[in-house]
Amino acid sequence: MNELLQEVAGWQGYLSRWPVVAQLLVLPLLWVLPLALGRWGGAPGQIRQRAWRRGLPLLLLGALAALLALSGHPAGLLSILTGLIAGWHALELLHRLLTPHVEPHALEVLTTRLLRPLYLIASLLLLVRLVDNPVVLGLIPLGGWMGSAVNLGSLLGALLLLYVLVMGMEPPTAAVAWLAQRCLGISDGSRRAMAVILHYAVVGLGMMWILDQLGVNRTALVAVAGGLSVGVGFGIKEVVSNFISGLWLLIEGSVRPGDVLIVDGEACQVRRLGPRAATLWRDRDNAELLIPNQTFFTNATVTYTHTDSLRRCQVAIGAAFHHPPAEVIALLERTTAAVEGVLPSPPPRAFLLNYGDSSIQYGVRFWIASALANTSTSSAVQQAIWQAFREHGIEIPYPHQVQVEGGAPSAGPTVDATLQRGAGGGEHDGKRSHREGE
Amino acid sequence: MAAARRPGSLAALLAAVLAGGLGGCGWPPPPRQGQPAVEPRGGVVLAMGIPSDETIDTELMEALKSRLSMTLREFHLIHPQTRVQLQLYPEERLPREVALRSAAGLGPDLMFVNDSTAAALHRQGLTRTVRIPADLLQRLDRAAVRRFQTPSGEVSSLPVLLLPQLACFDLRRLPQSPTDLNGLLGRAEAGLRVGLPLDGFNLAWTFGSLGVARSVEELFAGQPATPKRRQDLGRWLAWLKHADQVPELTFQLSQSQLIEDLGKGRLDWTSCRSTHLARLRVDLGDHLGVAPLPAGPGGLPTPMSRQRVLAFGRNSSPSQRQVAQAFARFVVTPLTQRNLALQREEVMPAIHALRLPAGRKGTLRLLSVAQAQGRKTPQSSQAMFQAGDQQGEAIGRVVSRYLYGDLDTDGAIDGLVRTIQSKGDRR
Repeated sequence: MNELLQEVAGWQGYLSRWPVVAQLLVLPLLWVLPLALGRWGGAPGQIRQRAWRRGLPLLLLGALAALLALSGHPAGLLSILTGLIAGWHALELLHRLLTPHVEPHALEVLTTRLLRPLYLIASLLLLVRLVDNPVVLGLIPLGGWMGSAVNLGSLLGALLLLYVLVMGMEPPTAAVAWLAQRCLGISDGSRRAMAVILHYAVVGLGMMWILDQLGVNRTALVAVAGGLSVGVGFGIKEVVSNFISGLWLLIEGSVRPGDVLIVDGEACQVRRLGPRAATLWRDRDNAELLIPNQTFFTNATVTYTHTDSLRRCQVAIGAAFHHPPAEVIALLERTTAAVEGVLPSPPPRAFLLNYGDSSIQYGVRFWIASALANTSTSSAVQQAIWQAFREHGIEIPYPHQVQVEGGAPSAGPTVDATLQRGAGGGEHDGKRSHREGE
Repeated sequence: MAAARRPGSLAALLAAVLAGGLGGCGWPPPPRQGQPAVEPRGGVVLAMGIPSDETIDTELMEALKSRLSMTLREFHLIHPQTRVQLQLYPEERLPREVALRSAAGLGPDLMFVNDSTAAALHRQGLTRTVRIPADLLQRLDRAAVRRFQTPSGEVSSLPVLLLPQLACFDLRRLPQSPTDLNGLLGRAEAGLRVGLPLDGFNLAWTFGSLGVARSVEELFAGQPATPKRRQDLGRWLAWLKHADQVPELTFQLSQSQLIEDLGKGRLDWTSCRSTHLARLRVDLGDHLGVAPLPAGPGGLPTPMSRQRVLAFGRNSSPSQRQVAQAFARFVVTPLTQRNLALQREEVMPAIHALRLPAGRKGTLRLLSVAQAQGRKTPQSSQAMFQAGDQQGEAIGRVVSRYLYGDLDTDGAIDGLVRTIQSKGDRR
């Protein structure tokens, strides 16, 4: 490590060169000019726009670099730094261009976890190449690990490769799974499960390859693994248990990304099956639930998407006693079938459920394609029923609570009773209170 | 208030930029000659070219640091406020890297490279010329100095070391190296495992032994491929073909592979360069034998010695120039040259008149003989490979195709003539 620090310290000698210092001093203009242009009232509106405020200084510095180069002065550092900053802005542009075509989460992962870090690393290597040989810097020894000598290059290379494997292998494995879906006709859930399994397999194999490349002594590795297994038994049992549960769930296919599960009575969609926990999305409040994988392994799970993604919903409604049930049932079925989102097959079915205190209770059952659309479709169905009842003169009764206060206790019994009767009943004397219910 | 301060800060920035620009024009000026010498101060970067047949790895880096440590330590002793930072590059990539860095103003201050690379750097304008005291230059190899000297007497590079080509062998299998090619082939037929390189530069010593050196020189000079010259090239190819048919004699594309094979006991004899001695001493210990290359029916061999020179980078600041020149003067002083030669007995000094002992097991004396042979090698033959290793590789490709039967003798001669003359035309 001292050797690396000495090398880096040696680079400060370049600062004794005025052309180098001059190129570095010009660079802050990239930040100063946009600020100045943004605040300067005299600047045309177009120049005050964000893109211009960024682009104009880059163009100016590029022109300055070209001018310096043409006059025989070193300008490579300025050109490269300007180009790198322009490239950074171009990444933002790429993000915007891809936004309509790629789903937000995937785009976020692609740009923030892969493209930008890789761009920064490539930029750093290019800058190091201007002052030293990165390959030789990589040979600086850092010590030994598991029987093999580790140098800076092999360590950073291994870490970079691991990072790319973990962060960058998602799109390729997803593409392979998509191809498999196209060829074999597997379901969406199976495609997602296959993508995750492939991702884990690639990362696992990659890690083994990296350890091999680092020259890690396999015997030492086995010994460490043996030691770790004891530690696993006591310390990180839960972590391993969750990891194994996650793998098993994927292989078994009982819980897969995209599935809709009922958690605490709410339908939630499995967004991601991570190594430790599954990420579920709850539609009601847009909350994300992190549930340890072993929960699915040990508890009963209600899912709507194991064999198909259809969900049967039911809406209950009351109608007055004097309407013929057959008429009501037919109207309910017709009305429900016409609602958007209700599947025509299996067709909606209405039933007379029971005779209530104030109304006859009917239930209409219908099927929807997306298990998460229960609330919105049920709401639409109930609105349609209300409208249809109104148009056909079908009354939706509601319970009335009547409290009657009588005279003195000796004169007779105090009437303090709750009378429930159907709508249209007669009125009572005395103080009355009405309570409307469903 | 903030708005009022802004023009001031911008003015300061512009002033700094202007100062930078002036710096690029060579301001502040270097101290005039005749002024009292100022103690060199600061750090410089020494970029070292590593031959293409060597792999830059931890082992090589450690070996080089160990070799240079004494020189650097002594220089630091004399100029305690200086620091020389070593950076390694593959020799063939060095001009490209230096060009990239120089364009940014970040080029190395010194480059320790082959004379051919130094010439290429100079042609690309990546070096600067320096005035070196005449008495110091007079001590050095005059021909080498002249190559890098401008009419005004300044030099862009200083010759520092010479790496002679010789024969390396395993004393357990061979008490003495064969003195001629017939002896070498005879030994190979008797079971001696001989390795020869398949690139023109490392194989060019056989031009002299087989008596074709003059024809090669004339072709390189642009003279026509007369029947006599073609016949000479045919004789050289015929000997290679004959050698290739000896079961125990193998051709290898890589010189470093031959050295590794000798070190690991897979070969008994091969041509080598003095820089390979360190590695072979580690592998073979006292069993390493060193000898001049074999002569032949055509006369003495024409070994191609590598001249290592110190070239001056063009981006250095005045203080860095001072340190760089002080270091260059230091490495060509007789004391340093002597130390460099004696330290490891792998290199020959650039000062001709320097008297050296025979060294352990007479290695320095043998190197001196090889150096003398190299000096007799016509300058034009050396010059043929001075623009880089590409010429040697091109010749090697023709020879390979011939040995593998891809070219007949006439085709191979045509290929050799084209390769040699194309260089002649360019120069």
